Amino acid sequence: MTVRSQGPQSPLAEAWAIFRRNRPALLGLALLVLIVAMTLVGPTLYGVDPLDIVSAPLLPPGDADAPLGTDYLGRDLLAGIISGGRASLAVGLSAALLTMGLGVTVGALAGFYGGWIDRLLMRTTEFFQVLPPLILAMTIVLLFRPSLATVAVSIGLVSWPTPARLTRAEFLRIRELDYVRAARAMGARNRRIIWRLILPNAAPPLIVAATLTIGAAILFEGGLSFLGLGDSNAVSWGLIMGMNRPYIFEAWWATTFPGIVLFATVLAVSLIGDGLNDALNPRQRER
Amino acid sequence: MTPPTAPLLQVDGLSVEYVLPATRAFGHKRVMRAVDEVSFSVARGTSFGIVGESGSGKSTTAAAIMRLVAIASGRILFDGERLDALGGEALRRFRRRLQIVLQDPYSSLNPRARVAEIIREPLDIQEIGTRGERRARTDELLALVGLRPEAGRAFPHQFSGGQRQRIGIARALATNPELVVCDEPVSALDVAIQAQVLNLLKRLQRERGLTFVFISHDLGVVHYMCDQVGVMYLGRLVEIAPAKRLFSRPLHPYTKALLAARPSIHARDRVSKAAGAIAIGDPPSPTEIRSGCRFAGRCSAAQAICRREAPLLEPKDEQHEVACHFATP
Repeated sequence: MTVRSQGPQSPLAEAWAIFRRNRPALLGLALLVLIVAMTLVGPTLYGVDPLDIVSAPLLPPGDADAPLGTDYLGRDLLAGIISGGRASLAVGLSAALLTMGLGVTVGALAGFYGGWIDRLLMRTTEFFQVLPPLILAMTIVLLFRPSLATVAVSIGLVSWPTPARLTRAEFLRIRELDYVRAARAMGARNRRIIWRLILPNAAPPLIVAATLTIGAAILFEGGLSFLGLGDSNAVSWGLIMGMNRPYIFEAWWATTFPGIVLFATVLAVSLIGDGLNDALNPRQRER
Repeated sequence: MTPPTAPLLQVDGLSVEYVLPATRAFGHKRVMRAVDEVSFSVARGTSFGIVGESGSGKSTTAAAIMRLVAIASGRILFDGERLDALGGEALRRFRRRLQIVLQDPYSSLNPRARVAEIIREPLDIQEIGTRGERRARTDELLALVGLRPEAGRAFPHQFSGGQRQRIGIARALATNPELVVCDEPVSALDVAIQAQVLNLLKRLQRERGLTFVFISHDLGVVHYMCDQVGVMYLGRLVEIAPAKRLFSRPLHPYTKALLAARPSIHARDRVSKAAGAIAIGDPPSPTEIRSGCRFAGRCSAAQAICRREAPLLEPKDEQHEVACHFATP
């Protein structure tokens, strides 16, 4: 009760103050900004077409024409990594968006309304949870034509149960809190209670989950592309790795460099997620 | 039209039931009566206190009056209107006339909203006034409960428990309700702060002619705040009397036991404890209520009839109602 008299400080400002002091999280943020910048402005700075055959195949790194070497067809690896980021990040981001959209909607409805709605939705969630995600995603992609969109949709369809359960748990907890009771006593409609009261208070763990989902989705896309189930017309990190997999002993660089970038991206996103978790976790804020 | 002497709130045979999950797979679901045939009425501008141990159903009674839990049976008349029969939009509109102050000042305020938004919330929900009018009303309410206008820009976590409870009171008064249900409004506060909040509630009642239903397990608080007091035990009202009367001449053995169990530094109070007015053991679980008087198992005056027949709440004189076969002063 000593520092209560300070000026008005919003929970968001407070969270940022904590995040700012978290070194690994800041490192992750910097790394991610770097990677995103690379995929956005990289192609204009390094104007080599990733699909052009520029040199001899499997050229080691350090070559004048291809700084990171070439792949099994003689395409520039650096150009591939730079433009491949666009597909990887786009699929990762849209898959994460879909995952969270589906998961939060299902979890919110189940947690708020309870009863048969909850039972129906949770049984459906469990049905998806017992299927191996990679097999399910592969099946979905194969049912349609592999493209960036179908890859994103298939990742979303196999990943939503986790945020759904998290959202449901938060809704179950918050809907019983006194400020929700008070709002009911004031005559608040369900829509207002869900959107204005429960969702903002459930947001911190969901934001963390969303961040980690982006990382998982990028990794998932890499996996699908590696197995040859990605969009073969759009260069992505996973695709490059998958294509060069047979030559891994002759040309380690062709699989390793895209792998390092993919690893760095997922690491950056995870560090940010951990930082957000610390910053937004109310239990740690009540010091 | 109701005559001016009619009570503002009349609760008639109110029962609330909770369905408990079955103890065994495929077993029968059990029903627990949290509130059982409770009847009382509250005159306009007065305070009705409900006291009882935890689990006695007093908070559930409050929630039922607020229409926050489903009512199993009984009627609730508010200013002559069947509050229990209202639903949908009619109930939603009606809610501006009754409000609640909750126990826990920490969980009763949305942590992500500024104080001004919290106080304004009932006006937003009930769509009362223009944006400017709502803002002016918020400032007025802050002043009314003794907070400075700047407090409106702050967040709940920047206030102490007592200040937060003031915010909760300001919110409850936003729509100018006639009835305020206070559900243990001070039991989460420090004793020194309790008095401040109680005095604030008393002042507001005097100035605005508010009617209170005041739920508390603290006899001293109820004695100080209330005109009329009802004692609840395991979902039933066992005694209703004017506060002074109840505290000086209780009739029900349970009320006597409650009063005797009150910590006191006065020697004469300890004497009454020695007189045998002590409840034996713990209250039975509300799920295992047998026939007869619910207090019989713990009552030192219980006879055979008490285990057979449940006594009804009956008037002993025009002021005093009691549910006991052997009620004696």
